[in-house]
Amino acid sequence: MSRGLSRRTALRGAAGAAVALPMLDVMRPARAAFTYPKRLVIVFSSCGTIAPSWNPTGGTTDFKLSPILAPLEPHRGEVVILRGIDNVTGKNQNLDNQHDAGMSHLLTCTPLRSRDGRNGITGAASVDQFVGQKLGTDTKFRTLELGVLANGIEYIGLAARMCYTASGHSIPPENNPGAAYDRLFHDLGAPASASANKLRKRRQRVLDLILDDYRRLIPQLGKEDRERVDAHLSALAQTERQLLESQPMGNLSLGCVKPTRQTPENHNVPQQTPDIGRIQMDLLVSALTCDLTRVATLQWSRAESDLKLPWIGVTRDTHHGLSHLGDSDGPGQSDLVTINNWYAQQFASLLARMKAVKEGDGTLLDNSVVVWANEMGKGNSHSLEDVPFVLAGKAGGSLKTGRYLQYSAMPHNNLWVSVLNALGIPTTVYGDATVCTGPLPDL
Amino acid sequence: MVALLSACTGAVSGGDGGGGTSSACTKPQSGDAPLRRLTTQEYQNTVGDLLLDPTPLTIDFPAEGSVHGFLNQAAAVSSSPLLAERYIAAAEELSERAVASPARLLPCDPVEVGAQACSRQWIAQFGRRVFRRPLADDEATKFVALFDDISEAFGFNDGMRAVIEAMLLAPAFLYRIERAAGSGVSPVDPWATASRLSYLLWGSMPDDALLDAAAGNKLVRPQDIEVQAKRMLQDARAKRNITSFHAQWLGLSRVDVMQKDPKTFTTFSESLRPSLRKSLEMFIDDVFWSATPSFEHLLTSTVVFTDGALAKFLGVGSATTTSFIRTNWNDDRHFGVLTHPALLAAYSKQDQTSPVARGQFIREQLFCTPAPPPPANLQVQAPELDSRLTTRQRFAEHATNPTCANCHRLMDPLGLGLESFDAVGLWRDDEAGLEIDDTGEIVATDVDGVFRGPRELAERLARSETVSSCVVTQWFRFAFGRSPQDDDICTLAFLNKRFHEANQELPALLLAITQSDAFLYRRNHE
Repeated sequence: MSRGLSRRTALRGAAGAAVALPMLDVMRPARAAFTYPKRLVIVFSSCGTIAPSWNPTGGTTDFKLSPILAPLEPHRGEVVILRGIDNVTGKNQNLDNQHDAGMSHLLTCTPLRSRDGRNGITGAASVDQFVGQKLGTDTKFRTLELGVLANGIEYIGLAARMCYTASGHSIPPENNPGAAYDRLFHDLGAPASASANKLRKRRQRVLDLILDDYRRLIPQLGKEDRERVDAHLSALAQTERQLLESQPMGNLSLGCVKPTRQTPENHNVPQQTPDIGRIQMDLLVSALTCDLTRVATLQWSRAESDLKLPWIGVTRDTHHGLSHLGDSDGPGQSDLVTINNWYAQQFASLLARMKAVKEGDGTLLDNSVVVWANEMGKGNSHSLEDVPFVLAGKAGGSLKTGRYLQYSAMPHNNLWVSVLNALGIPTTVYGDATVCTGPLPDL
Repeated sequence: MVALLSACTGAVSGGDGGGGTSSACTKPQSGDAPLRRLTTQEYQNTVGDLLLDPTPLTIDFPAEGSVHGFLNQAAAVSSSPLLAERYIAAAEELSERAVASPARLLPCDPVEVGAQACSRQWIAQFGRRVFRRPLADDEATKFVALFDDISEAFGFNDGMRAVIEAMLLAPAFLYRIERAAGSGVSPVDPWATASRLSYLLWGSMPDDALLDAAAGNKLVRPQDIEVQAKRMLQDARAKRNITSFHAQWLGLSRVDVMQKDPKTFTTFSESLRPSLRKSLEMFIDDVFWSATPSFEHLLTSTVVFTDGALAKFLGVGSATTTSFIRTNWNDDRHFGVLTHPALLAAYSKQDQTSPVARGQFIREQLFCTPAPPPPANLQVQAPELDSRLTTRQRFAEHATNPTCANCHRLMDPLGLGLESFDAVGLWRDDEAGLEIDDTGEIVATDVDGVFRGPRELAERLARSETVSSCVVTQWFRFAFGRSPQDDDICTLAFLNKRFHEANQELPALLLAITQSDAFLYRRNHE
């Protein structure tokens, strides 16, 4: 928990208003000892990429950005572009549908525990959940999952979810920015009141009672049913802290300003994607700044994306439909480059927001690892090789950025090992140990 | 183009046979009965009945996984912290609403008999309804202690709120827990039977009459169960739930989100979608609750329901009414669900029909023999829209290329038989200036052969044993939250037999389910 006067004390002011107080000496931790926490952010877009228009040219530091990655130019000093990373465990899964395999393995790198049609239970938690357990002990939310029409137009189990609990159950992203705002900020800075106190006390008692109920039920069930109910119990246990804390925890300096509540016209309408995404990115950065969480994921649509993108002139077919056109279909390839370039623009704009948050002598981006990921390498062959990954942020000094690194058939387990190490979680293996060969060399 | 032929040998996954000899079926049998949880829809229905308030929740639950199109399958149940939060938010919203008028729920007046005494009465009575069985003594004690603690600190209403919230979050409410007696096959206890009946027929909790029947041991003999089932089918909740079954079976959620190219289809608009869906649901309703509620009728009835907007769009019914009226197509083109514009439009693309989607739908949902999935690394180049060619011509490679044909012969020829209906479900006589050829072919079923147009297709499907068994299988899935296993062969044989004896009347099938082994018994495992 926090040392010295907590932020809880500091933020009590007029109801709901952000309070900017001068930093009292008694509140400021000893300057020399203070380090900003490291954060992990993962952004998802789907259906692979067009390698000839994605691959940078040039060498490790003097690289030239490609047509797709061109929007990253203002941030070239902060990124690491990774070529030659394969979703090996996804390939090994041998599913009928490679979108399902790629997506469910993207952050888990582990064989599925079970599968039924296009639903399934993963063999391990996703890396964001794992990191949340380690870095999120002091924050109100261990992790934050946001989405932009992340169910797609049609919801399909494994293809729609990249985040999974330790029991292998999918974690749905919040697609509704209004609901996300309420979850994150509604109570922030609210003064202690009789009704808030009453609610908290009642919640505590109720949760105690039902957690006990679930615990007592589990041994009475058969094996499969036991696992299901256990997953429910874990989910409940995790929400306890969020519900019983109304103030942010942690000890960042007072950079947190409660944002205004923004909502798009309709978060279920595909054409609203740019606006929904903009609001979700604002929320994500605010949540990190206010230390409400240190792990956040943003999912654009889903694997096998059935999104059309008329706002950039792509109307011929859905993203997925286009991704299945042959290499020789010029206009189709061009549309796909346009789509991926647009997602690069969104990624760049997220990095810009994170750069704008000062943290000591650096920025929020400097203290983070941001990963842009995809469930697939090449859409029309359904290849899980050469999956496009871009890292950004210096992880508080652990990552050397401004580079283009080329690998060959490198399992993506290794990428996550490197990310974990950069976040201060020492490990030599992540996911399937028969596939993982340690961290990415040179990263 | 590399294709994996092994994925598509033409051998289709078999439908569930009606086998199971009578000698092997003397002892009750049942497949594994997995623990089931209330779906979002069931949750909403249940709390509406429980709190005597049908107002929808303002809380959104996360999307649910479906298996075979059904949202209530045990295999797709998953839990996440977000879901847990939503359950809590829902419980708090509902408890707040409930205590706005507590007299509605209280069986006594706290002022008259005293707060303590009244709370005990209420907890026992309310608890029985929430948990769908009487509270055990230690449960009652726990809730009473909770009530006392909270009401002492914050008042009677808050005490009620705490109890309501704790009950709505408890596993005994959210999950349909069935007490197991040892291992192997055992009868389902009466309280669990009550829930099985109410969730199958109503998608909601048992009413007091049903709970009383369980209490009075009137839910043990199959004939007593049937009495209750028949009573429950008369209730409006049955209508709602049966519509929900059909919507899931036929994939009607696609209608809600389908988009069509405005340049090609100038008369279609997104505002038609709810009317289209409602029209199809009313049609199914009309058949199911009629004097001839047979599956054949579902495929051949020429009744149609239209409101003003639909009438204008479809050219049938009255364009001047706003509400729905029942009328008849009175043409030689429309027969049953298969030719309803909502269905045909849902299984089409934005600017063209999709023989593959329509064919796969018929194979999967009506024959229960889906074609295998495409090879993992298939590079598809979908045929360009060509105004000089018909859809049939553009998809010719599916038939002529042996790599494609192995699987596509199972789907395309079925869908091509519906080519007279365009991508928004309207009849057309020609495409690209060429006359429509709606010849189709059924393969790898018990009613194989060429057919011409939707009428012949409907008649063939109505005759098919495979389709008939598939209807039984789909209801089985919906009823039991799982697909049939080997230990369900006797149940399937029983259901198929009853279905046939009743001339394939759908309500009879539903009742037969409540009389089957899989319903009356459960397999317990250690």
